[in-house]
Amino acid sequence: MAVLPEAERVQREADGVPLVETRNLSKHYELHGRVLGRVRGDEREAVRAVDDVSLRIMRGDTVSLVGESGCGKSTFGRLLLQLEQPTSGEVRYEGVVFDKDGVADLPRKAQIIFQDPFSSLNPRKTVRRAIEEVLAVHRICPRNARKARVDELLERVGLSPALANRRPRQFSGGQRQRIGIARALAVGPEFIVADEPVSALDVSVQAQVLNLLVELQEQLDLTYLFISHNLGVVRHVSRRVVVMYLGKVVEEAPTGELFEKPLHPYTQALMLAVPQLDPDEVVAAPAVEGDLPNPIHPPSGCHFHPRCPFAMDVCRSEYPPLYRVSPERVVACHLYDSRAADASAADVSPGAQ
Amino acid sequence: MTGDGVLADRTVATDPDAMLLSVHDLRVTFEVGRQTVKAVDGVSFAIKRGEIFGIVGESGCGKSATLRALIGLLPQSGVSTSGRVEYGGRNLLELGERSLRRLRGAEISMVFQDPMTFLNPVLRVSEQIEEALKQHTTLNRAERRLRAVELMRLVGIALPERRLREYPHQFSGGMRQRVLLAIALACGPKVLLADEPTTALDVTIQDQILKLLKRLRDELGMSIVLVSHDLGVIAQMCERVAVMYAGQVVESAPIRELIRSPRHPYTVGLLSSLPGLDANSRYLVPIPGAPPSMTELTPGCRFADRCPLVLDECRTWDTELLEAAPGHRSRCLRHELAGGGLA
Repeated sequence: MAVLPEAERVQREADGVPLVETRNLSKHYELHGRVLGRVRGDEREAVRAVDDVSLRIMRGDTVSLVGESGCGKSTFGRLLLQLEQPTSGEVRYEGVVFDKDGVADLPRKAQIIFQDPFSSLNPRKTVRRAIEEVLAVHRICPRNARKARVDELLERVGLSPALANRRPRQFSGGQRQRIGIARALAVGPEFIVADEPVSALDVSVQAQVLNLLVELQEQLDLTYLFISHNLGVVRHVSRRVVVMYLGKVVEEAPTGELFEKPLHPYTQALMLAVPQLDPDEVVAAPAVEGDLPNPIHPPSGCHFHPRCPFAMDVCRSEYPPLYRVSPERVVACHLYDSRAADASAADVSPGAQ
Repeated sequence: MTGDGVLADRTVATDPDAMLLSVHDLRVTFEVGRQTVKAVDGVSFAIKRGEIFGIVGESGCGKSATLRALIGLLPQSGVSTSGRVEYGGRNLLELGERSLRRLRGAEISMVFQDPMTFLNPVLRVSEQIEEALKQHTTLNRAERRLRAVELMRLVGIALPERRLREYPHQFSGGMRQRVLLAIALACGPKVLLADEPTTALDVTIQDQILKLLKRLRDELGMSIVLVSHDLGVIAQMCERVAVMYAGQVVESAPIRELIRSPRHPYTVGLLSSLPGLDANSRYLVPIPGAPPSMTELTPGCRFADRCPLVLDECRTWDTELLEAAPGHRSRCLRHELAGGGLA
């Protein structure tokens, strides 16, 4: 990927070019070991982990990706960082398409924070070495300036530089996540994919790390793609939310609007299913019946239809397109086809109860 | 049923508040190398018949060790347990392994966070449910088979006859938890101990399992002790709750009181660290610092170093649960100043 001259970058931003954009991005994993099927010439089975996802992330934004396990949210994050190669579709960074020649620059602009920092840190290396290594690999600062830079990074994430010579196991979960963040920041990125960054942490520590992420965003002008299954966390950190189900985007909306009035029946179910802190806010019936379907053989038509209380005939045969219901909202549900507009599911939103 | 049993039942019928299981001053100490860890340090609580009692706390607070200690499920070596666990007129901590075995599964059973760990991968589900029945009942083979089908229906598994012939790996996470529940319920236990039963599940599946647990409690009249780190889960499920911190109960109260007017600074901190209470601020209010190391506990209140209300005497007093309101106890000298909670 070519580096854009500053003037052009500014111009593109003024034109509304997103910092990161995907167009019809898909990642399918073929299943192996079906020898008989191959001999018979059957079509190879594949898991459509990410299926035709188009998304725009503007500079300075925090976009959250939510969904349950296997919905493809982590794969999507990895595709954005070229940790996985897409099956089809493209990823653009400041309007420039990723391709094989231009990757070299990407790691300096985009970084990832993982759920479990312990498994991404070498247990035998001190924290100082783990971070210095990043600086060395990317030739970010001269050898004699590295120590100072590590100290600065640790302070930035709220750790005392005095701890730099300890090894990962000597830190608590929250501290390890801070180290993970410091490592991601070492290259001076502008875009960070945070993949369930606080899911492994206790709530009191979770709040510390979430605050740190917000603070860093303000100080360093970062752009986040926040991947999480925790709707409370998502509501707190993001400006826009994208809901995924079995590899597909089912709804996208500004955070406030989404939580006020979720449109897709799956989004409604997700929100109803979250146990409320108020013991008097009790919903007697389960939000949605049934299990997540097998992703190898997703249901025909809309993938959610077997669990959907509003399923119609058309839902069983046709996958719904993304309907634009307001300038900032899209939803993939036949209920929002303008011909069926009267059948709006609005009245079943949690807010209405 | 023995004469004693009938008598016990009559007592309960006349006194709805009679305690089914009560725990007094439970202590569990682990020997780790040369160090001792007081994982559970003087925990007391009691549960009523048909009640769902919650224990909430963060990792390492001793909530799971408490639950396991009740029915002798902690490792034999390197662990010492003291105190009293009264159930049916006996102290469970004094029972031998054989008596405990007769009790576990029959009268008190347990479900865990990760069902796969407790299901045998090479046995069909039918064999695993029938095994529990074989151990604890006099049902013959045909009766056991029928009962297994019934149990599968009870926990909401469709096509029970067919699914009984399958192996655990053929079940999804939520379905496995249902199977584990079926096994736990096989002999109609009076108490179900549930250790983070939905933590590994997706939220829509968690919702189904929690509602199933509630329905089972209503239908079978059993008591449930639910351990969770998730205050939302506890709030939706339990009537009364104990909050644990560093091996001790720091607050116990009816759930509404705990959520709306918590009286221990730790509970207040837990509630205010949750995202979503104040939608207007970009920043949350975390509890500063981290829990104390369980090998280097100092006298006084264990929350003192993180507490906004701390006084000098907090670091020296012999902590105990103080009555903050009727039925509401707090291990805090300044409990009347602790405030916050859900508006």
